[in-house]
Amino acid sequence: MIKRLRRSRILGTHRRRAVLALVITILTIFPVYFMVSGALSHPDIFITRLGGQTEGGLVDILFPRPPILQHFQTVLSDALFRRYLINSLIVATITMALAILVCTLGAYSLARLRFPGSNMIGRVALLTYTVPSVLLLIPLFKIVVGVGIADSLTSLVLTYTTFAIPFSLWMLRAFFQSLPPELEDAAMVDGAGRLGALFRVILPLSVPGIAATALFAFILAWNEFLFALIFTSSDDVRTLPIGVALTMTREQTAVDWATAMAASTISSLPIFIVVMLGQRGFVRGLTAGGVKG
Amino acid sequence: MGVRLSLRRREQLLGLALIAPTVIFIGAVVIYPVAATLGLSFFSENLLRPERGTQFIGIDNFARIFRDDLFWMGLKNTVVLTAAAVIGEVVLGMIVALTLNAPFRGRGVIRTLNILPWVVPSFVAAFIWIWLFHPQFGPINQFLVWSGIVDQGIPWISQGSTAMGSVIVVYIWKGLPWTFLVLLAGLQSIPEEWYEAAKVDGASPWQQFRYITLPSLRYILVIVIVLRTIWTFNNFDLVYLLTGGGPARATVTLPLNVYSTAFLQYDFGLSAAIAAFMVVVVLGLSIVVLKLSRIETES
Repeated sequence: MIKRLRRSRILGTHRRRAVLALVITILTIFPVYFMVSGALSHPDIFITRLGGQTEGGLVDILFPRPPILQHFQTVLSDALFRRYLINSLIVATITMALAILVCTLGAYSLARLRFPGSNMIGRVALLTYTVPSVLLLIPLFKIVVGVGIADSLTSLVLTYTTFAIPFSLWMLRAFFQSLPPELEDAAMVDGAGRLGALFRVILPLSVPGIAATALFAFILAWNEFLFALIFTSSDDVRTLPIGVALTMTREQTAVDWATAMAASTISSLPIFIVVMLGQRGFVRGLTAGGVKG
Repeated sequence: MGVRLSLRRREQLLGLALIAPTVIFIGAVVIYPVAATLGLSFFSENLLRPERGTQFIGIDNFARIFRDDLFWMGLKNTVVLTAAAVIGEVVLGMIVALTLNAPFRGRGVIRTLNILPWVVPSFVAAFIWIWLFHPQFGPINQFLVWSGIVDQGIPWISQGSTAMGSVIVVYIWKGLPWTFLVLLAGLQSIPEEWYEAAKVDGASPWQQFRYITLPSLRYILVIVIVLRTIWTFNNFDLVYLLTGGGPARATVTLPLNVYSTAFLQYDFGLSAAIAAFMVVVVLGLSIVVLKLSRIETES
């Protein structure tokens, strides 16, 4: 009797929790849902409501009947938007590659090769994670102008790579430390040098850690706004966040919301794909601070 | 013996060579700029008055910002935004984490969906919410009008009385996923037996939370609070894109002050002083993080 009671209570709590979890999820993702459904909505519903709202509006946006792809076509046929999109892809991809290279070598050094000051370097690198980005604005702007890479994708890549270092360095270092040193010792006895052991033995075993580094560096570079705002001034080198934001402010009074949501959806797509690819490992990296807020 | 020593030397040199790119990047892009900004905060440098050049003026910049109403406005708004957002995120994050810390079907999917606000680019987040808040076309106002709660759409982010509250809602929405994921990871590390034992002793759910869950999450909670505080305090893009600091400076924050002073008024010295003030605050918080994380790893 008691046993049955308890079991039913637990089942009850679980069902209640599942319902509560569903409610929370709806509250969290309804803006994302609206972004997609707004992008698929008929353009009329954003125009006819100018005078005063009628009851159909909300339902029409929630469940576009029929969903139309016109706004996505509008966005993608815009040469400027395509330019921004390609620039973002270039910057994010090169940042990702560069961050992997720099952080793999650095993390291996910190994990295995003891030298004076290695602890301090690791700690300072971690501390840079909390530096306010506005603190870097003026000197970085001066450097970028002084070196002659102002208004270029290079300036963005170099900055974003640095921002990706603290987290990636610490994550990869922990990853390397979890591998037994005997692996390299064996390879080195067989005649491979340190670097040979790193590339042929350690790296193939570290794919999950390196993949996480890659994903987080990509997201960081894809989403960054402030330095793209300061460093770039011509449309040729603008990335999506700046490009789209400027287009919106230019239109200010007459923003075409359906098209804006289509642009937002396309801009979010690579990130959604990255999250789906990452799954469990991604969540673990995220809780460790992989993406800054 | 001599051979072994030189091997050690070689390892050290290789170590330095491998860490060199990291050091160069961080040195050039973070360490030097931080030092340069701190130094610049004691100089006057205004691009609109190039004939004056860069002059050492001691603490005049700080004296100026402390007399400036806009600075105090920014400081007040930054503190209000940060405090409200972090409290909201932690309280809600705890509720969500406790809810999701139970096995039910579809938990993985629900967790993945809940991450989305955190990873979505801030300009996308800002545009979605500007639209959601829109007085005429925004779904929030359409719902409020349709349900008869209000007669006319509320201009959430463009009127002074509701702007800051609305910005806080967006910050909580964006920050909640990270907070609850970290707390959830913490919850999952508490041994189930402790709760079993407490139940046997007749502890109520609240007592279990108060005497098992909260103490076990103590360090994680502190780290979550401090990190979210630092990140929100420093954040520029979300509020810049949502309101640009308006209306009538109702949502202007310190990062926005730093940006506009430097790149709209071209007063680099003054901007550096505001940034230097911010870093003092952030540095204090960072030291707390490091201390605590060391305590945690030692225990």
